[in-house]
Amino acid sequence: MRDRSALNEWFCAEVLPLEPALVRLIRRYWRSAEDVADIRQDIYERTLIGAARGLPAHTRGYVFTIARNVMINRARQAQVVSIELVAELDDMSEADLLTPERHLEGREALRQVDEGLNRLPRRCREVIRLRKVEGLTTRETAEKMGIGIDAVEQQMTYGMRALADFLLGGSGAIRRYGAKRLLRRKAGS
Amino acid sequence: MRDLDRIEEQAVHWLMRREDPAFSDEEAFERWIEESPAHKAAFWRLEYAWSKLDRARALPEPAETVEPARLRRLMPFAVVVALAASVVIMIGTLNWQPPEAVTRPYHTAVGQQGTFALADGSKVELNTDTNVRVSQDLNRREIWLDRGETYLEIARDPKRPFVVNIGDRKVTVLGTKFVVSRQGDLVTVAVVEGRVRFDSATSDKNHGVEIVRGDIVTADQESTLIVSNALPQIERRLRWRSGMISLEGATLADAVAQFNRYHQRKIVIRDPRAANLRIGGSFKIANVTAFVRLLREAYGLRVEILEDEIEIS
Repeated sequence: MRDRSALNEWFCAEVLPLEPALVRLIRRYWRSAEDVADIRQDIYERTLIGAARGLPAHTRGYVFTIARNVMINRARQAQVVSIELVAELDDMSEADLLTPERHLEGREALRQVDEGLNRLPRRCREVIRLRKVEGLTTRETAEKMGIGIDAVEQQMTYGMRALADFLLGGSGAIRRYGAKRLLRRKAGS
Repeated sequence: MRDLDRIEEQAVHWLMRREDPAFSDEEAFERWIEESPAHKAAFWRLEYAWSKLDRARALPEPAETVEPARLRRLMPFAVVVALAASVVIMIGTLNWQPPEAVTRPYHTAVGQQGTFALADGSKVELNTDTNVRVSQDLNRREIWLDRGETYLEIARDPKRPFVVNIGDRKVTVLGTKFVVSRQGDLVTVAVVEGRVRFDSATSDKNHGVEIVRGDIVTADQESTLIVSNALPQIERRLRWRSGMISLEGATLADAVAQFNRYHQRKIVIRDPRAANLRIGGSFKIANVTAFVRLLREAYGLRVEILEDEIEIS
């Protein structure tokens, strides 16, 4: 338990600030938001596996090395392997992972949160507002909004993901599940 | 549904459940989060965003006003939360343990290098694929080299000898510059400046071998070999600190083994005759392409770049 909270602290203090630069780097080679999120998650997963054995001496370089390896492997597994892409990734250096963004304080931090929330679709925003600001439970939120509990959870997921994406330096566009699932929902609720 | 979607959905689910002061399923949460680093990454990311919302100004409310009934509901929450918090503090106190010397692990990935300083000003440089553990307190300074290679510049402190543990060997120093590496059972220590004592882990003070500037000690389970006056060799050994591999009269097999320490995609020599070729020169560690290109052009070797290895024949 103690180990995990040290890992948690390290992850939030040193790895998450790298996300804007990391996502910019991944976006150079992958356009789809889903791919970017998958690759980002892959990088974080491996970062944590290694860090569990021992916190790295230089987090930035460590994450960068992992990012490079993950991207090279992905590029090679693609349906159509681009030799140039693999070569370009091979030649990447740590300078490509730019310095972490300045940590926002005070008013700037507030403005960033506001903007993140404003970018959310009305429903997502309302669900988050009711849960966070008014402290309603999921059930109460569902009742108040006249939607199902499943729908509340789904809106929370979309909303928190988009918010995390934005606050950590992305675009904060809503990433929905595949179309199939949406259709099933519409039929059910 | 994609894995990531599913994991993030679970993460939000747990995030919300743990917000409830009546939440009592901590064990189930522990099981879920310990199940995979993927869970940790997703959860901690979303938790981070969720905690940022505390800073949000009052969000604009929708057209309808808040009912008085709702306001009344909020009060009991405040009381429950306060009680829960105090219970947590108590548990924390019961489990309190006396402070002990903290052992910190450090780790570099394949192809990565890193440097850090100790509290006494000593400098520790890690080469590729290296795991060390560091422990310092009032009486001693200690490092365990579990894997890989480290270059050390140790601050002099006669009251606290510095010890490097490598498997069942140890190196004791007062203050000096030296490099230690380990590949499985094979341990190598080379001294750049000063003197160190090299012996087995279990021996006490005055046994073992003392080696000085320019000496290289190589040891495995059974034997120990010392080479003296080898400063040029030591300097070549340490070129990794400037991102280079320096070879002189090494076999291709040795050279390839060196390169492979730094890269995920390994070079494999298929032709035993090629393995015995002697090569020399300095190469940038990161540039495997230049290295294999040289092999092809200068030695007429056939190089095949495959998905997960490079074949030389």
